[in-house]
Amino acid sequence: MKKITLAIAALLAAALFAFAQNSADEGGRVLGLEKAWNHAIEAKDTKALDQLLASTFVAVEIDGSASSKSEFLASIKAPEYQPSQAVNEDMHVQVYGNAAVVVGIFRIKGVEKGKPYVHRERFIDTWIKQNQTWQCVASSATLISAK
Amino acid sequence: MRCQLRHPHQREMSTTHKIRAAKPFALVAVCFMAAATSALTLAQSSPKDDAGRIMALEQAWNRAIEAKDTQALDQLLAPTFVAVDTDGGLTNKGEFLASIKDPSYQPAEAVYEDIRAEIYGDTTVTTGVFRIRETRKGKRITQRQRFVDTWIKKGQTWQCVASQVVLIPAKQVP
Repeated sequence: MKKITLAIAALLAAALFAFAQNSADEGGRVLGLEKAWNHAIEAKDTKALDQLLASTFVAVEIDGSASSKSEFLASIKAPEYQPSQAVNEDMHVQVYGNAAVVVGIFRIKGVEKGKPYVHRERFIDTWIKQNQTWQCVASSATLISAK
Repeated sequence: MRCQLRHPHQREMSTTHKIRAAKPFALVAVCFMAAATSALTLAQSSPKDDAGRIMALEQAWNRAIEAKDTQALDQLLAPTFVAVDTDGGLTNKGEFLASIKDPSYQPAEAVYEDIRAEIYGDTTVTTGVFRIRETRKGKRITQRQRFVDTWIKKGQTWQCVASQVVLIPAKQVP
């Protein structure tokens, strides 16, 4: 009985370790995709963004407006939108099975309608893993007011 | 609604207690039955059912805010819950509950003008427009906020893990 209990305990420990390891791997993958998103914005690469965003993707912008995936991609493509630098200052990921939630601060520098700007935005992105692929289903951002 | 929310947790607690007291063979039987019941319930739980449940939980959240009922909120929010407020401030569950409890915070009305749910298995994302009438530090305010909430289903219980609100300027029509 003692041996069986020990074997079960060892199996559980191994399963827990594997689960923790897997969560860390998945979290790392999602953070990698967040960086790819920033590079795609800087390059106005809507093809790359198309791969990163789910068809049901919704974005809530700093002005309180909501946009679908196609509206979001169109806004990136717009000639008056000229981002020069997009970086994440701070990011934390929490993995819940086939979902991951990323919270962080996004700093974007660019020119819009001829006016240069630098924004710091607090964001939450929700990612879903479907058929071995992570895609973002929701992204919201709130402007952090400059002190 | 608050009773409905508390029930699943009470059931889980009593099941755990029984498992701890059981003999090994009984433990195997209980585990088997629990797995079979979960599988059956999961098979029966359709996205439509889950969407309805989430909508009810969102409404319960509003009632809990209006009543400053942090016990009900504690049931709705996961331990890992994070919130981003209209000023860009980030709070964890403890800080969020403390802000609701704060005597200077006096909510009068919390309603949804619009709410949609998208189900992805054990994850649901709700988006919409939330209107809140409240008094903060003696100042009366009415705000319309665009929100995104992410809910995760663990066992048979849905809990919110992330919530972000963005202020909608007075002029903007959703």
